[in-house]
Amino acid sequence: MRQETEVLIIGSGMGGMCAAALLAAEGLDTIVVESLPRIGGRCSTIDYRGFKCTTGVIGPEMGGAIEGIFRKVGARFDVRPAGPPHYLLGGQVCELPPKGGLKMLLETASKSPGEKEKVLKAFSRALAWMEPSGALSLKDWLMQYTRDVNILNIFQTLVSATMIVNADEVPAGEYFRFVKGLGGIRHFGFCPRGSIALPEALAETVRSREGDLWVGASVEAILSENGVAKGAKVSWKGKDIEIRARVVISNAGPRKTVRLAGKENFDRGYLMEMEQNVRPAPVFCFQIAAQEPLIDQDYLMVTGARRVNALFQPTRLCPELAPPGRHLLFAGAAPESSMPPLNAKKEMGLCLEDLRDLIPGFEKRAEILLAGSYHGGWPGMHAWPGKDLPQKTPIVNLYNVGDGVKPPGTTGLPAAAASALRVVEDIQASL
Amino acid sequence: MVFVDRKRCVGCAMCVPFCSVGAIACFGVAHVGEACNECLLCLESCPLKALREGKAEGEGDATGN
Repeated sequence: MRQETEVLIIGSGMGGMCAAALLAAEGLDTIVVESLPRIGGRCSTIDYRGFKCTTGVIGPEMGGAIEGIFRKVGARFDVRPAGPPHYLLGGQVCELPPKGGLKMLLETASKSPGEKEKVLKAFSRALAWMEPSGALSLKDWLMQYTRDVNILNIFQTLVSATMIVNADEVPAGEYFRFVKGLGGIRHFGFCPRGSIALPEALAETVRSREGDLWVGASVEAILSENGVAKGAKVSWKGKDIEIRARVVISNAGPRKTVRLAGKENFDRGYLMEMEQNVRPAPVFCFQIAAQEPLIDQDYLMVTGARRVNALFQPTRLCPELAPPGRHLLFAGAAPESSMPPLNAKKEMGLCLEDLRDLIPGFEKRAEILLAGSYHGGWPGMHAWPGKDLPQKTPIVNLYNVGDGVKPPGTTGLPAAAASALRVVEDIQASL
Repeated sequence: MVFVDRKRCVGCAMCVPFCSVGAIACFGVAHVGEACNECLLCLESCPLKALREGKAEGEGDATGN
């Protein structure tokens, strides 16, 4: 069986769906194929015992690239703003003011006023004048100015909760590009119907423009001829279908894209760069049920714990995510090192120790619904920040979108959206 | 019988909600317990196709242990 389209998108994660909605809204014939029985990839929702559990994404950024895309294509951005941000510093909960948050954090955490001043001055200089070199990790950059473990812990939390890798793994320059570009993702919210509401809203746009979305359709191979992408072989509902397309966009992660399109069709330099640089960033997410709120805030950034870096309690804002009268808490955590191999059981054991310390009476008041480790082929992000491949591939008209091809200074969902915007601009210019 | 391919499973726990009899536990890696009624709903829930019908090669039972 054969089918023709202008654009074929492999994977319905947010990178794929943003690209699909934008291109369909431009009037291009678009088909999205998704191998799982639900759309959204790591931005999706699974109903479990009356709770709307996440497949990865806890809350989208507000007022950024994602919301911009929703506005552009006329999709409903059903998100309630969370906040204000709170930090747990040495057992004390501090609310971050709208301005001067870092100064306040450092003043609260640091025992040495001199070191705090040195860090703030260096930080201001890096933002106002020149970003630090990428040759140093953020932690090494900070250690030029301070050895105060409380200050280092603040940055470890800021980085690991948003950029998914540790402070000694993110290039300093990339961290400052992120702070300049996204402001550290200060404004975000929760979806009352779960994260799946986002890809579903974009899917509605695609369908309303005569686009198609095939769920449970697995791509066997990306097809190319003479170095130009031509479509894909797809298995769907027991049928083998060859989809011929002018443009193929993969949201499956750069490594899987190469596997599907055949290593032999890629430039050797590209493959070397992929092997050397592109490593998945691991993350843990505990989804916890309770009869009562377990924290007093929408979210609490945690400093100085073993592994847990943030607690999110969306059910104060969005009670729809839990059965009546019950609450859902997400605990995010990063392993000690993002380098494989990952000892998930040991790392997750340390997360549990943190949860017992952070939430009084945890064993009695809380029940872990799902304890997820995201790494390898289903990671926190497909590439560490600053270690991404470009969106274009050496195969003409074959692009990647998503968190394995992040534009500089972006992370997570905003990165998926920003990568889709770049690809769409390129397609618009060339078609 | 359902088994967990440990080379593929990363322990994301996405399979757990799909088990109608609560036979799957996941902490770092998924385990399919004896309560499994082979409804096979978990198979297509796995993003990495780590759950499969049959018997794990070189392993003695269906739990992947």
